[in-house]
Amino acid sequence: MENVVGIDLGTTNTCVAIVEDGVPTVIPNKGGYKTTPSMVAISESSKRLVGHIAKRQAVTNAQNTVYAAKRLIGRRWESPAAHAVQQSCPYTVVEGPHGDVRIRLRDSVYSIPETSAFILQEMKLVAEQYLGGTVERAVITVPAYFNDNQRQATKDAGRIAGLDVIRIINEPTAAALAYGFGKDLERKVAVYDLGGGTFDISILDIGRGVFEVISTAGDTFLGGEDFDVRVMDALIQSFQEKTGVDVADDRMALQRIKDAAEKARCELSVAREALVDLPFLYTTPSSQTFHMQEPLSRDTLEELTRDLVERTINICDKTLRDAKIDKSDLDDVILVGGMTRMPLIQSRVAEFFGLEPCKGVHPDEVVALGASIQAAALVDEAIDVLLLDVTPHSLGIMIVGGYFHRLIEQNTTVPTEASHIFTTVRDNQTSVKILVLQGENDKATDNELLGEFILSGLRKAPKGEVEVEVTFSISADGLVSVAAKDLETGREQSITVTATSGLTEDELQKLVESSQHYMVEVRASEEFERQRQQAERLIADVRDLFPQVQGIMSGTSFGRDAISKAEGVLDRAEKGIKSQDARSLEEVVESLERTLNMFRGVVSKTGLV
Amino acid sequence: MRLALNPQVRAETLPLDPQEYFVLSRVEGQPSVGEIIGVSGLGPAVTEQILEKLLELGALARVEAPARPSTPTRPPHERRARADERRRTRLRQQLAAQVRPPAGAAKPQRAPTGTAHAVASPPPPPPPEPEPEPLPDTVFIEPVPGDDARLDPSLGLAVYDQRVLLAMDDRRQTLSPYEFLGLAPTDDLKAIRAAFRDASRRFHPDAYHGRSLGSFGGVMSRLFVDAKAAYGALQRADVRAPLVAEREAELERRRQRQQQRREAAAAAEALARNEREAEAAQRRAARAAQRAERERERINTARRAKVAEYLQGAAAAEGMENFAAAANNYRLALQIEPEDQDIRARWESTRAKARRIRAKDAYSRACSLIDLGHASEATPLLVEAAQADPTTEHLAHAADAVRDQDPVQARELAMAALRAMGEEDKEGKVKRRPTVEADLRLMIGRAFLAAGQSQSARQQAVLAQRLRPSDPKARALLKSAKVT
Repeated sequence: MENVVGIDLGTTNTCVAIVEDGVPTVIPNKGGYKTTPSMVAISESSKRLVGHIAKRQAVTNAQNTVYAAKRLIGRRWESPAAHAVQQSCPYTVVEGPHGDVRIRLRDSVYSIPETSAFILQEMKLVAEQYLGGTVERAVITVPAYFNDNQRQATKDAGRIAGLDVIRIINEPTAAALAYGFGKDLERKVAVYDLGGGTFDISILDIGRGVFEVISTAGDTFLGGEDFDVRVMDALIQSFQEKTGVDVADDRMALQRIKDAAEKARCELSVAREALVDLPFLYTTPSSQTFHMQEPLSRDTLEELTRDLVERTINICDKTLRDAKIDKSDLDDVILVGGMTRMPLIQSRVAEFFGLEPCKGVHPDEVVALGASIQAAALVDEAIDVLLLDVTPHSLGIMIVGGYFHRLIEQNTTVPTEASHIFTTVRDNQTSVKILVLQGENDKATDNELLGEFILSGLRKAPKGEVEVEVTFSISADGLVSVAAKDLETGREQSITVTATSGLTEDELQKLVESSQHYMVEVRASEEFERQRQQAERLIADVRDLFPQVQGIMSGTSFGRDAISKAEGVLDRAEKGIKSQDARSLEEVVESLERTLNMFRGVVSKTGLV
Repeated sequence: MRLALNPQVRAETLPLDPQEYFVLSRVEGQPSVGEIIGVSGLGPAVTEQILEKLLELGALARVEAPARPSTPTRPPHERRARADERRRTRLRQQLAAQVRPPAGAAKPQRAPTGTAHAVASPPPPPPPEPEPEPLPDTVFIEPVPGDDARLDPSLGLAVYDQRVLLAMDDRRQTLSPYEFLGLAPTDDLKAIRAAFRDASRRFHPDAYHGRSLGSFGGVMSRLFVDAKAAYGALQRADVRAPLVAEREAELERRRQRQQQRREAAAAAEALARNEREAEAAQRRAARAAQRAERERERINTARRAKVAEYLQGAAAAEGMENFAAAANNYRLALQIEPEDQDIRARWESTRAKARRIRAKDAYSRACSLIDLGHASEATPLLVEAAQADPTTEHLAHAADAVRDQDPVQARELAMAALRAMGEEDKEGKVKRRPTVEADLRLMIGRAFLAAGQSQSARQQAVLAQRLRPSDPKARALLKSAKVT
């Protein structure tokens, strides 16, 4: 059976899972952790660092460490999101060539999908190591409220990482899949997903192995990071009040405070008090040193973040009302995302829904497990699960006056199809430009532009006479296609709308290739490392036996010959290690093994061991 | 669902009409209902109804494992086969849960008791009461013909499924929301939800991810969109109501048809029973008449024998001059045959003879007693003689004899004697000598006198004097009469 993994590419943590013998399992990384920080860094030696290593060195290399890249993925340079990140992050954000956002790390500029691809590549390696085979296909989750550009960018990231992304699914949906998989449930559930960077709420109807999303909504800029920022700001302010020092410009100090804030927030989920202890936080030019020692109570944290929690509750309320679902219809509330460990959130959610949230799922792993289930369901017909997902945003076109005309409403189950007849607005209009937009705003320009195309060759006629039928369809895997048909002539034109991730096809192709190169290098260096370790062990063993063997065999010419040969082998081995040539080293390892065997044979025969 | 002939049932023995037999004869191998409808050429409604009946009668059986020949072009992918099988199993379970099992067929029919007669063989047990035919709870959409140009056996989709999908796609514009979900109209929202989930599994392209679907991908997407829209529409009561009402009406029509059929059967049964009962009553009446006839015969025979016996006895008694016994026999015979005038005549004549003889006997004994001087002892005998044979002589003697003891009876007897004398004179049979008559008149006269009727007594005395002048007795009587 082919290995198809599910990857939860989170804002702060990433997790990979696979269904093995019908059981979804999280794959631990090399360090034995089930989740890997979504962090990428370029070290001083231009080495790429991913995950825990990147996180560990973040304090010392804050400017060249990317975190929360998910907040930028698929965003435009002008978007407020990009600006917000620019303000709060220690790394440098620059404008890309296509109005997209890029990150400068050391001397290079990286696109966001690229940095995400580094993480995905790492996850791919983790999975391959665990499974002992290649992993080429994956299902990746995104926040339900991601628009098509963000989804496409995530897909591109997968492609750069050498993964065929067979499906992008929504995180809350994935969580529900993991929640209901393998149980014969007949339930209506709400999934409250508050992750590192995004908030999602989804309502699902589960039954007979069919997971039907009824409604989904969210905020792609509301998550644990925002909670941390609140704590950070409070810490900085208090530090300034106490010491009179403003650390706002000291990126290193900010990074340390950020880490400490995150740590304290997590601690406060279980303890009522936490101490933020950051010695030597700041040194003035006059070598005056300041330490931060701030006690933080749970009450303070809750006070600082209460409005954020209320925002999530308001979204829940609106979603339920829009979907015309009564709270009493819900059978269960599933909490997903590390943030939901916060007692305030748990109690507010329980209070709002009037239900004790389900404790049966692991908030950090459930999304990846769900992704792996969907992956298995798609490639393996023995997995009897069907997901009916919805499109989270309305889809439509721009009409005269710059207004947005919706063709497919948000929360419509995919695959879906809708058409509308438009007329020309000018006399003798021979072509019509169709702008495909996504969003909920009535003004076209306030929505996300997905693509555009021109239907030409219309009959010359007074305005309003020529009718054009525009048909939108969204396939099960989320591909949007738009067809425009001149009802008079029957002339038809259609495109598959490819949302823009900010990368052109050429760029993508190049990135895919360079990534493959990188992988080859990584593999080669890993292989060499393995060989080197083996060779060094063998050399040591041979050297240990050398004096004894010399004593036994130096009497005969055959013995002397053998000893000199062994010396030659050792020589070549050391040279090979130095030259970092994996292939020659492989041959030498074999010779070393033979030499060691011979030596052992000699020594054991004479009984001198 | 596939059907096959039931080898244990001989079709010739079933109550089938030609059309039903024709449909049965179309079943070869294990065809599906749709295929049978196709080959029967009778249209789905009629054929389905007939198939239901045939299934009920046991002529056809449902085949559990669908023996659809797997298309050789389909890769024998084990998982895929399993998935297909699972889909089908689910559909089957759904069908089994919804279609009620035909009950009643197993109920043993007891022969009617109570009216059993030795003559009439018990009527054949009526055929088991069929349950009202259930309307299938799932909707069957006839697949397009197997030679449709759009079918492509090289796709990863069974040809039969392709045919069904195409049929639905062709009829997209006309199918009702319920038909898209493959469900019979119902208000049960749970059932509608379940049907939508099953429809999703049939139409959602993800259910076939990785298979080459060709143009069927689009077909399925379209049908999924329709099924979703249908599901949405069916949440509204005003959409469901007319469709459910239509089905209810159809169910009601079927129920009524069933009811009518049942009633007709019951009426026919009742008619046959009435006929049987009328026949039986007739037979009973005939038998009773025969029995009565035989009884009458027997009684007549006995009567005739008795009469003959009496007559014989009478004849014998007559022969021995015992007229009293003969008369008695005749009377007994006449009691049996009151209408027999011959016997009556003979009874009367013998009785008369017997009386005369008895009177003569009593008279002669009375005479001898009187001769011996026992006049008082002779009196009853004289009265008896007068009663047995009321001749003038007997009456006159009796009247004379009783005059002292019973003057009233004496007068009666005297008057009877006068009447008898008048009758005898009129008939002229008896030639009395004048002296005898004079004696008689004297006797009568004495009786009258005793009774106090001196006028009559004198008259008799005068008449007696006229017959025998100078008779002392007459004179004495006259004198007595005058005195009084």
